[in-house]
Amino acid sequence: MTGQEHMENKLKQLGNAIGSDDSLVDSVMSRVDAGFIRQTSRARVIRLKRRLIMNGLTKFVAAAVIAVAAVLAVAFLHKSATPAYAIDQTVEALKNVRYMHAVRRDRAGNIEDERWVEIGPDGVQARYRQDAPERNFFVVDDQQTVMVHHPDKNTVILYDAQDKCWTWIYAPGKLFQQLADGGPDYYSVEENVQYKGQPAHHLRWVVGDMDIYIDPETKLPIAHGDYEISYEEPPEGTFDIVIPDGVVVVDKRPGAPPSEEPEWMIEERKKEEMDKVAQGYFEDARRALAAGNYAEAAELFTKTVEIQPGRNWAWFWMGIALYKAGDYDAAIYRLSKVIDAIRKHDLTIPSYQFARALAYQAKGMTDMAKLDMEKVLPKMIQALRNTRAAWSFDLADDPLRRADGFRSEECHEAPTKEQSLAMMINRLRLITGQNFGYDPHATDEDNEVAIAAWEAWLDSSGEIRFTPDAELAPMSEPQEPMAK
Amino acid sequence: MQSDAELVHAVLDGQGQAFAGLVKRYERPIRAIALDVLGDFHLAGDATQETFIKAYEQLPRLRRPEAFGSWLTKIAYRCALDAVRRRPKEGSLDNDAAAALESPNGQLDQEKQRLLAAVVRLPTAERQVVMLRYFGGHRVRDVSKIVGRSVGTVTKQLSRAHRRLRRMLEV
Repeated sequence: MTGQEHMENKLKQLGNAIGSDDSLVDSVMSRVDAGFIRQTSRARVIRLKRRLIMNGLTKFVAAAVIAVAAVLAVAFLHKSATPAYAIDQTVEALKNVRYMHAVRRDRAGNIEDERWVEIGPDGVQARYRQDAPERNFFVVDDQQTVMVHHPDKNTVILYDAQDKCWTWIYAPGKLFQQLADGGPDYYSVEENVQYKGQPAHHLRWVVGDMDIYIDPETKLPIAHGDYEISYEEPPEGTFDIVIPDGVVVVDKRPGAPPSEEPEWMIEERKKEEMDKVAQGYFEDARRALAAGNYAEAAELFTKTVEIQPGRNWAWFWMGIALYKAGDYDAAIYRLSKVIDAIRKHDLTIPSYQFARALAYQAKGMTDMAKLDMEKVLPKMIQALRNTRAAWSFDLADDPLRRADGFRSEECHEAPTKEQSLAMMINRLRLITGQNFGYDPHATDEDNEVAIAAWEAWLDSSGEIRFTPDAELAPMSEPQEPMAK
Repeated sequence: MQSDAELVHAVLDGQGQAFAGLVKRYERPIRAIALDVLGDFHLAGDATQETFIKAYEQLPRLRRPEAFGSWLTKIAYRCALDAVRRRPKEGSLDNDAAAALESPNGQLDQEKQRLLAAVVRLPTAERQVVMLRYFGGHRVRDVSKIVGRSVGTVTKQLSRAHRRLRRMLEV
C-alpha cells in the first residue's frame, strides 16, 4: 500500500468515525422555515457588511482564545510553538506601515475587488477606498464622509463617516497581536513555503479559517485569504470623494437638505416593510392557531403567503388550521402543496406527511393516509433514540414555539427530551394502536425496553392502525398531540 | 450535481429548500470541525445544527456564493467556540448520560483526533476538498462540481493535502 493509499484509508476511517445524523437535514430545515429566506436588499447587505469590522471580531478572538486554550490539546501543534518566525515580528513590522493595498483577482487575473487603506498613527484604519466592479460597488471614506457609489443604479449615497464606517482590516497590527497572544492553538506556522513562486511563511489562522502568507524578509503579510497585499503609497487623490457626473445623489449626512430617493431605494425599503408586515401576519396566525381560532389563523396564514409565497411553515400551519376546522379537502390541498414544494429539493419534513396522513384519514382516504404514515414511521421510531429527529413534529404541534424570528414573551421553549419522547410515543400509539409501556416516570431500564420493543415491532410488522382512543403516556406538562 | 454557488443562489432566489442540499453536503465536514474543537460527539452534533441554522439566517450576507464552504467553516468555528463557553462542567450527569445515549464511544480515539486536528489545519482549499472527498464520500468529479474547480485542480489539491498531512503527522 502506498503512502497515499494509506492516508486515504485513514481519512475514510476518520470520516466513518465522525459519522452523520440522519435527522440533521430535517431538524435544520424545520427550524429555518425552509421555503423562506428574507430577501435582503443589496443596500442592506452592504450595511450589514459594513459592520463586519475587526473591532467585533477581535473581541470575539480575545474571548475565544481563553476558552479554546483551556480545552484544546493537540500534540503536533504544540511542536510548532517555537518556530524561527514569530508573529511578533509581523506585529512589529506592521507598526511602520502606512498604506495597505489589497487586491483580489479572478482566475483570468481581472480585479474583482481592490482596496486601499491608510493606517493612522494608532495602527487603525484612517481613510479607505474600495472598488468592486464585479459587484457594481464603490466606496470612499475620507474620514469626514463616506461615499457609496452604485454604478448600476446610477446612485451615490453620502453618509457621515461617524455613522458609516467601512472597514476591511480595521487594525492589522491588533489582529496579529491577538493571534500571537492566542498561541499555537490559535494558529499554525509552516515556514519556508512558496507562495506563487516566491518564498513565504504560511500562517494558518485556524479559527478565522484564513491562510496568510508572510514575506520572510519584511515579515509583512503578502496574502490574506484571497487578497494579495502590498504596501505602496496610493496614487494621489485615491481617498478624495469625487461624485461622478450625472448620478443621483442621496445625502444622508446630518444637516443635509432632504433629497429624493431613487425608485430602487424606495422599492427596497417597501420590500423590507412588506417582510415585516408578513412576519406580523405570521406571528398573529400562530397565536390564533394556538388559541384554537382556526378560521382566523387560516386567513392570516393566507395573508402571509400572499406576501411571501415560499414560506413553508405558513403553508403547513394553514393546512393544520383547516384540518382542525374540519375542512379536510382544503387541508390536504395546502399540505400537498408544501410537501411537493420541498420534495423538489430532495427534502421531506416528516411532520408534514404525518399531518397530511391525518387529514387523509379524517377524509376517509385510509389507503392514502397509510401510504404517508408508512414513509414517516421509521423516522418516528428513530426519534425515540434521538429526540432531535422529533423537532419538526414538536414544532408542528406547538405554533408558539420560539423559532423563525418569533420571540415574543408568550413563546414556548422547546420541550425537554423526556417531553419530546413522550409526545412521540403518543403519536405512535395513536397511529398504530400499539402500547409498549413507556412512562416518563419509569426507570431508564424500563423505558429502554419500551423503545426496543417499538424498534422490534417496526422490523416485524410496522402496520398502521389509526387508534384515536389509544391510551396516552402521561406527561409532566401535557401537550396535546396534533393527532388527537 | 449542483455547485455550492448554484444552491446558494437558489436559496437566495426564494427556494429555501435548496438549503437542504447544502446541509447534506457539508454535514460531515462541519461535524468534523465541531468535533475537533469540542472533542465530544454529542456537543458537536448540536454545534453542527446551530452552524447550519446560523448560516441560513446569514446567507444574504454571503458575498461570494462560491465561497460558501469556507464561509460555513467560519460559522462552524464560532458555534463550536460558543459551545465551549456554554459547556457544562465536567461530571454533569445529564451531559454524560446524553453523550452515552447517542454515542457509546463519546470521543474519537487519539490517533483519529490527531488526524482530524491536522485536517482542519490544512489550507482552506485543500481542507475543503479533503473533507468533501473523504468525510462526505463524494467522488472527485463531484467535488470538482461542488467547489467549482477543475478535476485536475481538485486532484492536485488532494495530492498536496496528503503530502502535507503526512508531514504534519510526522512532526
